[in-house]
Amino acid sequence: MPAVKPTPPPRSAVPLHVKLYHFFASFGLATVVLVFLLLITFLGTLEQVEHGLYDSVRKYFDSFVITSVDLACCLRAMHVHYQGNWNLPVLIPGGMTLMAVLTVNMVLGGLIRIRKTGRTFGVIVTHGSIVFMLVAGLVSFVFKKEGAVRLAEGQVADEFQSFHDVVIEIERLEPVSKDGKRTAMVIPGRQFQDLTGGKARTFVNKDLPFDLMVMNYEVNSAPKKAAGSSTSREVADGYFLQTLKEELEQERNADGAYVKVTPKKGGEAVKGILWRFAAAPFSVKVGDEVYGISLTRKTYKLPFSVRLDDFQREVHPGTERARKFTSVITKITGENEEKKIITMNEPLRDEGFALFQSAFDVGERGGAMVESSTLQVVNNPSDHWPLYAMLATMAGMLGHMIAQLVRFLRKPASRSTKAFQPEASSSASTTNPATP
Amino acid sequence: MTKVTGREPGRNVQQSRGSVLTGMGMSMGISAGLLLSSCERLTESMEIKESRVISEHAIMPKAEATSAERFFDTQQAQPPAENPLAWITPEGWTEAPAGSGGGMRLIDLRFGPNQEGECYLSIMPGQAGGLAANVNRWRTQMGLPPYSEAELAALPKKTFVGRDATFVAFDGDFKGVGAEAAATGFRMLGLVQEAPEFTLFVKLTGPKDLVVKNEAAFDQFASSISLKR
Repeated sequence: MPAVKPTPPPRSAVPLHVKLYHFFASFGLATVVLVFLLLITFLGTLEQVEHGLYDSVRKYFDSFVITSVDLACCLRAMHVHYQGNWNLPVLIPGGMTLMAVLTVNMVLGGLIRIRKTGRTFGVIVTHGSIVFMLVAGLVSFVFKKEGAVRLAEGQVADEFQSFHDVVIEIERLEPVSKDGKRTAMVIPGRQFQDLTGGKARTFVNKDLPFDLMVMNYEVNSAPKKAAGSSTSREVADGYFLQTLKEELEQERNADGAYVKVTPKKGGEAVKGILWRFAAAPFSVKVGDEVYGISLTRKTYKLPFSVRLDDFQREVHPGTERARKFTSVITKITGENEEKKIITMNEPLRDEGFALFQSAFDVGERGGAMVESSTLQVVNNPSDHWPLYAMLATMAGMLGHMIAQLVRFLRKPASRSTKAFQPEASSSASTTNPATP
Repeated sequence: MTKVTGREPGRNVQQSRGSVLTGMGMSMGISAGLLLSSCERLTESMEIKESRVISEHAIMPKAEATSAERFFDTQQAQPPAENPLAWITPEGWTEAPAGSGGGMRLIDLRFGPNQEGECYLSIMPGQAGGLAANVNRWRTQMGLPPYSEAELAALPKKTFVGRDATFVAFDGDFKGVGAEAAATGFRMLGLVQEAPEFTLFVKLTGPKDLVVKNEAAFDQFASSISLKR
């Protein structure tokens, strides 16, 4: 009688969510993500040489997908003589995608899947603090406000302007409101910065007596008189915007755009030019009202006012090299006034804001030479979180190492026999190979 | 025998399914939030939804500024820098049109029926070559041989801006800088004052008769020069 082949036991189907769980919790995924992070850090660092820090950070770290790599630039950054252009189309996950996947991986693999015993406590703390650090990065990315306020001696300010975020502001200049309060309508940069090369978009609001069309946005430009120039560019009030090469330092770019104001009640549309370094807004009269439209940096409110009482500059003897810049300020909160000193490496930290001494200027104001101080302002809710995360990581790793050392020292007899059998060693069982 | 550990996948999932799903949901939520926050549908027409209150400390911009003003294209002539010196212009003397004398002239005056007399104050940094070089340069302009050291040492002094200055007076044929031919019968008066950081010159030239008539005016002008307070 022929032998009957035994029927294999039925394989239990693994549900999809379990498969996903294993995938996202796997050590392999963590390795792949870290390799990609290394790669984009390398490429971003090389591209920064010719494309500038701001653009490189946006392309490699603030993005979900990277679609091209400027290989020619990367070669030149590595001192390889190559003069041509070589943009390689690729599809690499960007920093945001990698960070999100790494967070998922850390939570699932390093916090949930890991065996929770006294022995793995240090490892869990380490993974937890790394997750915390990633969350700190996300909070900083979403909520961090950074900019600067420039104050002449005697001047008071309770606002600061972003370094990078661009907006268009519309303010009614005349007649001035009876209570003296001023408001501005704000169009965020993300709504018009795509309007390059002939593209246009119209912005409307029921309280505005006109519609505003924004078109032909330029990242770096200069207004030029059209008279005597041969230009194919659009001309508004005798001027046109000349395109300039983008600066590596993004904050040095002078962006501009054309606008067309169309009154709602009929009448002739008016064209104008917005330019970030303009001395005054583009003004338009509609009926009895005058509106100012300006392209500017996003303005943030400070929870207190700052008055610059004195700016002191110390230089190294016989040179113009800075030794120490100091701003003597008064912090004003309601009726309360406090004298404060802001100097190099000694910021003012208050109410979640940090004000750093950044730059100075000497210029004319009202016919007299006046010193001005520029204070960099940072408001980051997760300002100190990375420090706490690092301390927790160190504590976790140190705790794990000490625990391993204690266990090793407590088992001298088994050390000689089991030292060469890693699969059976007690220490091997405490770390989870499936966890990053 | 299969070794069963706490890391056995099926068992772990069974034990902690709730927390797994919570963790996955939280992590995916962060990722989805990131993705959604960065996406905004841009349409042909958009409503302005944001506004802000402008600080009471913010400077009110100029309404109805012209494009030239806005773009710093006014190209208006800058007002001349204010002269740090004060002086009395002698009667009958006039100030020369700006730029007519050239060089480093802080005061530039003319006199005479046809404005042929010229008197100006100039300043040069440092020693400007020294007293001998400058006096002898002037003598050369008048067609005269240079002074010896003894003659230089014997030159008279006059008080000028509170200090002693060397005074010179020459007659001859004056050929100023850039002139094609020398003007005959001229007289030159001059004061040279050497200060540690600069040298001041007052130089007067003109037809001899005219200069002689204006020698008192020259002294009056030189003694009137002072720094503005």
